[in-house]
Amino acid sequence: MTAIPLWWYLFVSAAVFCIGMFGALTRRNAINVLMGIELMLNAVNLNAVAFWRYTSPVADLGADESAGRFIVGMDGQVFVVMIIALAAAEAAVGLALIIAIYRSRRTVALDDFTLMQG
Amino acid sequence: MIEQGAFIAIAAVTLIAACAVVVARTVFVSALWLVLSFVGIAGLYIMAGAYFLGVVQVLVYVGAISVLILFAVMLTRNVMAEESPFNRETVISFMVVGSLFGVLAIAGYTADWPLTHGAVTPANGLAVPAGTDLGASAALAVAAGAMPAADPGAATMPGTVAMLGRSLMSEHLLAFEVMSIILLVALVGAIVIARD
Repeated sequence: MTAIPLWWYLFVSAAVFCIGMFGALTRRNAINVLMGIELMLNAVNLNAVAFWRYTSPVADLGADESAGRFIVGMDGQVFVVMIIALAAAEAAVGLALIIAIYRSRRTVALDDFTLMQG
Repeated sequence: MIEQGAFIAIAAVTLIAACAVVVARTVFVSALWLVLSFVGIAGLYIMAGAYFLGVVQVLVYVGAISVLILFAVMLTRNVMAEESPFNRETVISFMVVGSLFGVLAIAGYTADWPLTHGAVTPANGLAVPAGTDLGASAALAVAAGAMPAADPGAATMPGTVAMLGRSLMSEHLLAFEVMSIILLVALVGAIVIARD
């Protein structure tokens, strides 16, 4: 059906991942770093969806071939559901940590988080 | 052709929004661009046939996580407005990330993926691994209205929401339950951490 080759998805996913990684590596604000991590997680999810769509086992629907074919396995989508749930938990805990640190140190700049520095 | 155009448009919006997230000077503007890139990703899910995940993406990311991030932005007053938003490792990070993107893009393009359908010949779509329980899945798909009635030659149907639910509740039940516990513990932990 689809006229879109798989590598288009992989290309977009790799680009989003790398952009998010750049943000996570270079921003000084801790909230921006979390945003970069969210972008990376989204890129991973996009990869999983693309591979689900293009490499899942496919079956004929009924005896007649012309009845249509459909994807049998939903494992790829299950992966994505799990990752979305984990990302939600991660975002909640991360933002709670940032707010807690802001309460005690009055800053969200990662350079100033030196409490545990040796 | 329309499909490809739509894909390119959605992908362009997603990538531009993602770039804007990274280069925006204030956190608030970053957060708003992040919402747009989440919407773009949801559109790509739907283009790939994962309709349920597109809806979940809008609900969870656009609805919940973005609001959470905006709350955090509001609660932590921006005290670093006058300084540069980037640290000193920008150049080396750009080189690392750029080479990573090169590797990923080349690998994704050149690798010989075991496609079962897609942009290849229709004959590739007929491979069914041995032991696949076709009966239940096919009956379920028909019941859910997934069957393309008189549409010869067509269209491989993506799996349905009913199939996803059955998969979650049968083979992946343990992971599903563990995930619910993780979510509960994480949210309780978040409340404990953020509380005074």
